[in-house]
Amino acid sequence: MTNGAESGQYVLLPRQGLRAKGTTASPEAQEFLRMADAPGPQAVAVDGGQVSVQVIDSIGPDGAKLVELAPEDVLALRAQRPDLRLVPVVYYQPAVAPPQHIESGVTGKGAAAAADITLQVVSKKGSAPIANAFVVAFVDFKARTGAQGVTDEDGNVSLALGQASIKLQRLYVYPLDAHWSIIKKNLTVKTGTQVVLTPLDLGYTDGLRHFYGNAAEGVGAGVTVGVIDTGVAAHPDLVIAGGANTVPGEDPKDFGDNGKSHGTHVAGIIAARGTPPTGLRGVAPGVKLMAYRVFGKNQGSASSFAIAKAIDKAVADKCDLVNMSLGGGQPDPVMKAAIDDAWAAGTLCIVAAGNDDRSPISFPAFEDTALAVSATGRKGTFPTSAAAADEVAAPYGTDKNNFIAKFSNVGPQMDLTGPGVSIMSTVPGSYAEISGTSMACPAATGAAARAIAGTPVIKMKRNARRTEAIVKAVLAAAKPLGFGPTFEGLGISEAQ
Amino acid sequence: MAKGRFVLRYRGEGVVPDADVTRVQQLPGAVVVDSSARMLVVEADAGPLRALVDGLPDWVLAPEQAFVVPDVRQKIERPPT
Repeated sequence: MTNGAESGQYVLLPRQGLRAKGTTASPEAQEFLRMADAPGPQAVAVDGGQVSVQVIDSIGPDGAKLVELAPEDVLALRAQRPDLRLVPVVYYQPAVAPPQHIESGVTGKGAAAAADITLQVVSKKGSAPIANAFVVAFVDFKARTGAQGVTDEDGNVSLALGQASIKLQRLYVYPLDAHWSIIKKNLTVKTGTQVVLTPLDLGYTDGLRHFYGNAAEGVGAGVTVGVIDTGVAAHPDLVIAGGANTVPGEDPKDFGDNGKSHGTHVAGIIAARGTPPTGLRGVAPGVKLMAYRVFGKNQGSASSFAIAKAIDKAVADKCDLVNMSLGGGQPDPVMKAAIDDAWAAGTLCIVAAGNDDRSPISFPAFEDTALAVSATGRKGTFPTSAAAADEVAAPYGTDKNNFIAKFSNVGPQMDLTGPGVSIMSTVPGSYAEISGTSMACPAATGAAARAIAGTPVIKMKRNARRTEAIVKAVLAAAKPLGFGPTFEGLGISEAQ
Repeated sequence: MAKGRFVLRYRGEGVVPDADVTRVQQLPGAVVVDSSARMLVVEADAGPLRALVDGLPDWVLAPEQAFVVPDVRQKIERPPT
């Protein structure tokens, strides 16, 4: 039954290749593709019924079909028939150069020489200076002009703003750890201006805890989860079972944090075992956590080779799920092959959709052998002064407090959504609040671990059928929040 | 022609065939700079390497590229002048 939403055209394929043959396609997929060789209405069997498919064209009895489907039928097929792939039809257009535009700079009054303004960032707790906070001062937010810098040991940052006193349209401060970020609007600053940050309260109900609470000890036990990221630091709340470093030239056994904290934060969202208010608890604290570092020491980018090698290592280590809070750039056939090979070996990759403000889902999240995750936020789960307050945007869910973060990428390949706005988690030696699909992804991965823990899926032979069963179980646990499939896929996992 | 850095991945059954690796190593100007059980990182001229890999159906070739962790922090694009 349709709800009035428009049908869309898709290419329906077997899981591997364009034709269903041999051992690369399930018998059910082969049977359907053979039956649906002629244009017209067809039915695909799903649990508890069937999905209506309008076949428009075919490339042969065992080949891919061009079909038309209602949105709800797309969701049902993706959730219950992971042995089939549904790829949205894409119409390519000639590339045209974008129009030129001019970005204006800030010009100081009178003398041309720029003046620096020194701001100080301090804690609300005892006015202690906060070092290593990233300060971003916009004179013109739309034009993206201003100055930015990092605070020193005294909490000071010198910003070349061109005047001794200036009105900022927006000021963002992102602390490295222990405090909430902050946004201030229409603020006049001069040297000596202090910005006061509020310490994190680990007992606070942030977005992760709102949707997933504080899991009981052992939740997720029996599931092995790999985190391919910047490494994972030793932390009182984390138990790291093993891992590898695949960065060329570095110690293969050094899978600790590379100095960027990102992987440690991701790992905590999945598997932190602390207890608030002295620690934090992840979505599935009982999983066996494996860390694969693909970013070099203090590096912000990772090579496709290192990532593909880490995926191979995670498969060899018998990871059931692999969290990849990374992506972007051009589609890479080698990394896609590694993800496909993982699928064929019974390991599912779950990937962040990307943070490009409603842009199309990034590579490799959009690949059909990975699950793509968008970021959901919830009003009331972060201070109104936090930088995350800037990310509240439509669409709002059935519960109007829920929203898809403004930064989140979107698209028809979306599979799931997860809490990704202002999420508290572990960082080396401390805790931090960060937003991103990077945070939504491990929330979804932890929930996926909940969905398959203790089920027969875990004991299946490691092959594509196993991965299909994992996907089916993971997506079956998802419930829509009311944003629509482009924003949330099948929704947020409610696995217990 | 300037050399590029490429990743080759073996998609075939079993272990990587030594003969295939030898052909890559013997490609004039090509240097294998890293490897794993299923992959090679090769510095070579793109044209000859692509031509070679086209004749090796179980291999996938792509220029090595860098990926980042997505960051949501606001950033200045243009400093004041």
